[in-house]
Amino acid sequence: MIMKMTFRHLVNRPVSTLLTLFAVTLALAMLGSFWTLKENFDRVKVRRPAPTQAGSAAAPAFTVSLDPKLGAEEVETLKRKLLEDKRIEKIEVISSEEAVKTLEQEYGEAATRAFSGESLPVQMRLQFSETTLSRGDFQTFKNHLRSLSGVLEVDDGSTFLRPEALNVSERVFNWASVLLVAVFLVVALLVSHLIRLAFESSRQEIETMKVLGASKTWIFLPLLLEGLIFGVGGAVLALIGMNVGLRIFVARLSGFLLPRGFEITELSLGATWQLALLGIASSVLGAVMTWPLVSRPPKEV
Amino acid sequence: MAYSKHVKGAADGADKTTVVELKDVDRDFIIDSDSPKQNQAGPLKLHALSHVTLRLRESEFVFLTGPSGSGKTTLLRLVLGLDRPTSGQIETLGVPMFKLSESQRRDLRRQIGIIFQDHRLMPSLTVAENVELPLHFLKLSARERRARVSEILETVQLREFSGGRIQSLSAGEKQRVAIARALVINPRLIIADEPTGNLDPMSARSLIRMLRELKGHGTTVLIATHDMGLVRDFGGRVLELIGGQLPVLEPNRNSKAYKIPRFITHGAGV
Repeated sequence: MIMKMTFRHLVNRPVSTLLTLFAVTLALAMLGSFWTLKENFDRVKVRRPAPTQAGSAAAPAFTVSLDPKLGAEEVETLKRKLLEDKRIEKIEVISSEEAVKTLEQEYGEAATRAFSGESLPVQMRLQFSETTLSRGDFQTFKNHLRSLSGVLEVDDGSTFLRPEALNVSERVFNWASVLLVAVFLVVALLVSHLIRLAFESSRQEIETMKVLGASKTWIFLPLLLEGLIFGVGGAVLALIGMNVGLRIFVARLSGFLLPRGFEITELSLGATWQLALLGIASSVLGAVMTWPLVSRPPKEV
Repeated sequence: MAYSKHVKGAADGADKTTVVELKDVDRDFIIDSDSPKQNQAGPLKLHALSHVTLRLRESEFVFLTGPSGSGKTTLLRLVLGLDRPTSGQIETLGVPMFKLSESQRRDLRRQIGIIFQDHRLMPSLTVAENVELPLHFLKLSARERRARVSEILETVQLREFSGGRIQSLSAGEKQRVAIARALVINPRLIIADEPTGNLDPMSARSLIRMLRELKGHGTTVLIATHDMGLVRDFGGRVLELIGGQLPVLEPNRNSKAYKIPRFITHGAGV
């Protein structure tokens, strides 16, 4: 009877039911999209390129980020000092402007927006003359570079992205994480509110059932069921929508958001489950929020 | 009865023929006023019911009349335990209503047939399912529920509508379904608040006739109405509420135990 009541209640008000389902789907899809972005940034961050250390066919290299306060003379002095080491074949100095241009070539407008006018550190690209270098020497030299005055960061190429590129993705990623939490809360509250509205729409029926002697559980279960239908249904539709969207726009989005050679992948199975669970949890929360109304004594006759 | 477990000796020890008893019941409502002058003078009190004393016995068919705002609905709410009196005692089905917890009062209401003015049927359920609803609250088996619903739909001549939707019924048919829902629990007491309010005269008479027939089955019926035509035509005991006061005459009782009424209206007798 409870199941029948719930389903017929939903079917009897199709517009309201469809709008509610659409709203829940949209909210969960937004959340899922952010989640997908987050996962893709994570994937790019941890991926490593072909090894440049010992045993590599290519000559090892370091990219050294310098303190922007250093003047041209100090940079030149540092370069001369480093070139005294015979293992280094050449040192290329990359200015702040050149670094931004390189980033823009690689990431497009997203990089420009992320830095919003801030200057990038001057960089030195150190190329070794030998194609092989022992692991010990490699680490020692890296530590030596780090200890030099005016050196901010040394990238040995073991991460796919250079420090400045990582900065971009970190910033975008941090903002996405903040938005993820915000969207999570909004989705939970939205679904909860929609369930409360469902309660309000059948307030008279509920009051009547209370007068006739319905228990609190009897009144609560259809509301919970209704909420679960919206939550689970919304999550399923959101996941289908996201996957279809990714398949259609994948190339465009990949080129805009990720480094070359990377494509946006679908949400992982774990995150998919988490999204579905969020839908369910929000529904339960919404139903629980109606409890004060469910449990109060009947007011009308 | 389920509720007698909670109030020791209440149902068993009570007078079996008394179904409803109100003793010197007052119900006041505090009215909020926007006027600062009135607020300074203290809150305004509306005396919805004043010193109401009343006893309904088994098989009585009673009309509760009075103009709008005279306190009819307030009295019914008190009898059903949906509202609390300011003072006085109320016993419904032999149980002191306000010594019970909210859930015990809910259990007690499951034993009472209730009919509303606007039928209050569930639009998402069929006719049979609406009638079956109170039986779910009594936790009867599916077989017993089906048997009782079938029997009662036959009684109110709605068997052919059993699987139909509520929206497809006329006002009179809807109210008959509401009566079936009240009768299906085999109640000792039926309370109807303006049950003919939305019906044409013919349907109204047919409905009251149906309720009056219950008298023969030992059911007490209390109907609130302001349709004096129906009251005149069907007779029975008549209680008239005027300004929250209920003048009572119970011919076979010791009058000292009851308030001497200022207004008496009673019909052809019980």
